[in-house]
Amino acid sequence: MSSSRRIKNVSISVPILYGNHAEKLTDDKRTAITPPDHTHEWTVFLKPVLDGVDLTPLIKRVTFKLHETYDTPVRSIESPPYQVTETGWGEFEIIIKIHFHPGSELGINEKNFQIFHGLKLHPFNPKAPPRENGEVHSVLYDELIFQEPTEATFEILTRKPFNLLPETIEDEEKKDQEFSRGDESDELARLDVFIHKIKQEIETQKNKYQDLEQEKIALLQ
Amino acid sequence: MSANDVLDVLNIQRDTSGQPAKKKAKTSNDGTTGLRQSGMARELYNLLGPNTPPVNLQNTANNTGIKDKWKTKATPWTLQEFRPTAEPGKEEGVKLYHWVRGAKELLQQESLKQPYFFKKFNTNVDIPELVDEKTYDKFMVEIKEHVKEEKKIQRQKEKQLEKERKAKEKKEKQRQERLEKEKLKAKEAKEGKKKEVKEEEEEDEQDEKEDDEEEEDEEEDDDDEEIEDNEPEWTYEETAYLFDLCKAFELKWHIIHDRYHHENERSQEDLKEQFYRICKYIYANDTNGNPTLIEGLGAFSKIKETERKQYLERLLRRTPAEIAEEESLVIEARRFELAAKKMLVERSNLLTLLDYPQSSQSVSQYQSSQGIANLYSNLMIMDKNQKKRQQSTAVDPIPPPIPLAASSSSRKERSFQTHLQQYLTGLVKQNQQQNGKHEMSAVQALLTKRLSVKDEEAYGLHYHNNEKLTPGVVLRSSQRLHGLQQRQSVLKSVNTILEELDMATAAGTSWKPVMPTRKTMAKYDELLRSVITLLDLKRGRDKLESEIQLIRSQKGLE
Amino acid sequence: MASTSNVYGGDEINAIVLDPGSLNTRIGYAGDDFPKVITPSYYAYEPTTKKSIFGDGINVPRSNYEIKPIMKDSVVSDWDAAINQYTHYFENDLKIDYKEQPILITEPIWTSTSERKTVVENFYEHFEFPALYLARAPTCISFQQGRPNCLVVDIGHNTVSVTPVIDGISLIKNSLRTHYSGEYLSDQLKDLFLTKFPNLTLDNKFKIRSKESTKYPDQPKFTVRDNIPENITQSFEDYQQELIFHEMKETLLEVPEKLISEENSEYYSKDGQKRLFELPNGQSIELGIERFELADSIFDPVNYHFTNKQLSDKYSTETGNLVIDTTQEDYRPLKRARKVESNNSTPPPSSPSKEIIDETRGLTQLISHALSTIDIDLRASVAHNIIITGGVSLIPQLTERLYNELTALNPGLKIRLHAVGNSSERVNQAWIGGSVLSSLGTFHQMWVTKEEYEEAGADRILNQRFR
Repeated sequence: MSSSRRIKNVSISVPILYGNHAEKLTDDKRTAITPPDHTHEWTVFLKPVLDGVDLTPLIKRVTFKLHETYDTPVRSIESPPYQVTETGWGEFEIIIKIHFHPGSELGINEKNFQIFHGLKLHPFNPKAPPRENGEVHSVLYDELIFQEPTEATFEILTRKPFNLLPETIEDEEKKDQEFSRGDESDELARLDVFIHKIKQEIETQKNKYQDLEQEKIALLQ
Repeated sequence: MSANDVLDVLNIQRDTSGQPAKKKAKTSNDGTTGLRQSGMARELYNLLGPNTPPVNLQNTANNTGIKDKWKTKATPWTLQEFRPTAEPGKEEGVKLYHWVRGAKELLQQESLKQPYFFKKFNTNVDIPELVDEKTYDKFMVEIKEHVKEEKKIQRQKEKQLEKERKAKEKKEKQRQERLEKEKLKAKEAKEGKKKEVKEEEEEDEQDEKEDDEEEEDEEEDDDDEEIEDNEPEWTYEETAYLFDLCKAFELKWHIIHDRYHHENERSQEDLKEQFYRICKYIYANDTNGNPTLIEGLGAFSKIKETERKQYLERLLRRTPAEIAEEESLVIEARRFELAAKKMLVERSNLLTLLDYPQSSQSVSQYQSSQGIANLYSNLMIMDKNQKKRQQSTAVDPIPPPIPLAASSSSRKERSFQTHLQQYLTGLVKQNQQQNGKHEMSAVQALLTKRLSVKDEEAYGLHYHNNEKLTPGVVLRSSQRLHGLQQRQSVLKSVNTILEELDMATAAGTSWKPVMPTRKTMAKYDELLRSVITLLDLKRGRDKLESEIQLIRSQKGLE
Repeated sequence: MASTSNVYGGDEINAIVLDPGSLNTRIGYAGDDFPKVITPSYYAYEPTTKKSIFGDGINVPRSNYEIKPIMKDSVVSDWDAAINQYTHYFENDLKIDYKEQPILITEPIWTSTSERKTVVENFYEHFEFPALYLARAPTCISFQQGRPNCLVVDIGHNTVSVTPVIDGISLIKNSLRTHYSGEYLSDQLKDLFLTKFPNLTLDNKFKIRSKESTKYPDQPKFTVRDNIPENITQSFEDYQQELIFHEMKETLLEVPEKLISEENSEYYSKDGQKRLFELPNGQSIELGIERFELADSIFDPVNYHFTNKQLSDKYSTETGNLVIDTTQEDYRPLKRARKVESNNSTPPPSSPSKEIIDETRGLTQLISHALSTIDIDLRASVAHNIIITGGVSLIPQLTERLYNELTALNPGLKIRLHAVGNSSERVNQAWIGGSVLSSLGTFHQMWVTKEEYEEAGADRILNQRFR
């Protein structure tokens, strides 16, 4: 009974990653069924940042909606890892939908929301040296925020600390695939610089404004 | 019906079938008639067929067409003589004629009975007749005395003020002199020149007396002075002329003043004053006068009217800068009022809060209510919990189910609970009270861990202080930032500024950091807010600049 | 009876409305929306035979015929000619039966008592009209527009007058008038030809038989007509020249947005602003900034001086203040025979600001000054109803410029200008107003009959009835 009550004024956030990996299709990977014009093999996924996190009590399934030209464009994954691997030649938008468990545990308003992700097959950074196997990663960070969680949710989510991102990523290779706490602080620092700039600008404008006010008063007299 | 007309239209001769020419709309629609028509008629009927054409060519509405009227007689018009002002029987004005519709006799009768149509527009203003000269002179004498009295009173008042002012000045002077003298005294006392000092004092007193006497003399002189009369006197003829004009122009003062051709130059207020004065006396003399009217007439004050007009004139000549100043002053005054009100309200709130009864009743009733009720309950809970904890340290009803490393040392940190902790403990206590069971919930479990702030972060927990949270799951990046609650135009300019700073933007609302966490979102919010402040400041500055321009150009013009 | 009266209070009496102006005289029936007769206020006169010709016929060249004006400053200057002209039109064109119809005559604000007396006498005694009324022209205009409180700005041929009208009655003391209007513009044109187009010969139309188009400064190429009567008088030639000037004024002039100064003179000298005007002899002249400067001179007469001394003497600096010769005898009750107190010129009342600006007033300053002398209570409603009328006001952009300048000078007032769109209505506005006025149902008791005149005398009715 108590498990269905909501804890007001509290929110819990779980960081997740979503996106896709892609690599050029080498001949050995081709099977009989791959059409000849497919150039890449890609995997679209959704997973929590930390590997140890288990969201199954909350997430019923994750659906990936692919392009119409694929067979069964709606791929439904019931259990982690939530990912779909396919081959293809084109880049299109994939709709990732998270379906939570229905029921009073999580509340009525748990709308199954969707994330739009553009599938990336070709490298977008001309400066970076291209990898041999044409590996491309497009991984984005986001956070699921559970607002006013029920006590059950609360329990599930607090079994382990989910939010502990690693400070840095040691593996060079994985740098563009993973996010770390260090990235966050970098971002914060960057934003701070901007804020500082703007604040300076505000100061100058304020001084000018005061000067103008003085001028105006002088004129009126 | 139509067959006849059709034949008429075609000018075909009909066989006489015994149907008389009818002017009525409907004719009998016998199928038998007309079958034995010869020639054209028959052909026509063959064309038409056995039925009459469906279209009803004749108007069945009630309005009578010309055909019906052409034989009736026309209404006669008469050239009637025109008598706009004349009462019946009185001959006045030029004899003009005009055509009027209607028979002559009828009209004559009518015109005798009814008044002329436009007569109601002949309005006249009700002005009293000017009395004869004797009474007029009497009035004028009274008026003059009255005016003299008033001026005297006013003079006296002014003098009073002058006197007081002078007295004040004098006192000041005297004080200063005395101070100086005291200083001198102090010096001279040592030298033993007291006698001289005394003499000086006596002289001072004499001076004062003399001054007072002078003043009294002045007053008397002034009273005897003739009160100067700035305006020429109102003769009887002039007043009669004035009354004549008033009647002719129906008391429209602007016109009366314009057409006032007299050697004395009178302003509009002069004319009004004289008129109202005399009227007042006339009515007062007349025993069955209307007292309110008399009072009203006496209320006219020439000085005030002239002042009022001058004031309006000045008002009109205000420069826009002054108008803007006035408006801003008004707005500020209002703000002060609001602030004062707020202060009072807050004070009373605080007082009630301080006096709030410490009831120990169950507070679960507040649990479902929102907003302010929540606030109160939280406060209460906090308050209560602190008290209770201080009382019962031994009783720890929650045995920790999960052995943790931190539990032993954290007792000291009990008091340093984070907000979340406090809130959760409160909740737990509530639950306990309600259920009466020592259930272990995750909440309790968590509580026992005595999380620090950092730990909380690790769990991704966040305690929102009374923010309104919609229950549900949200994606961080899709959270709408508070700072983005602006109009589109403002957002666009914000965007341009951010682009100038070389920041990554994504067209307004959909910006998100590379790594959207709570911290980054908050930081971004801060950034947005400061940009908006900057924009506002810039706008204010532009406004000021244009105002200065305006003032400059105004001054340049002048 | 009700059917005609309900419409606007009209009750047809069929009075005659006569509106004599400095350029044109208008005569017609009351109740009409347009005068039947619009004729120039000039006549052709042959001194030996003493024959006069009126109407458009004066433009036919005849030997020995002089063209003479009848009106000056909207007041009759040549009464004999005026009477002849009116007789000619009353009898030939309108076929009036004098004894049957009353007549309404418009008069300007600045008429003197003696002038009014002459009008009244002539119309009663010579024409024998049964009833008469003298209406002030601004009053008529305010009736035409249907605005009881307004400021009438009449930019006519001889004069520009600014008159406030309150409740339908014109205020005399606050009226202003200058001469910087139509005739002033014609004279400016004349002056322009002397300075900028020195070799120009203004050949009049009647001389020309055939022409070829040339452009100034090339010589004009035209052939002269053979059958021109001999002895064409100079006044005739001058009059025809004036007609050319009229045409030029109507087609060429345009008011610039702001005072022409060094800054914007470039803009106005551009090719796109130039206009060609073809003279009767085929020669075309091009006017660029001059056409703006001419129109600008109404607003700023100080800066536009004449080179011809004669002309500059004609237009002395005017502040616009009216000095009306009102040697009126105030009405005295009969029992008291007192000395006649003649009232001399009544200058306008001193405005509260006590600034006596003794300078030439252009159009905007004139209107602004008039506004500032009006009583403060009325000022707002009058400023909101400013009526612009008169032929010169048809110059393009005049109303816009006027509006901009007036609002700049009077920031506190809400200025609103009303100008009738229809050009022929604008020129004849006073006549139309007279027609409206005399067909009002309540107007009929205002007619002053001949009997009254004979009984009381001209002075008295001028004082009593035509105030």
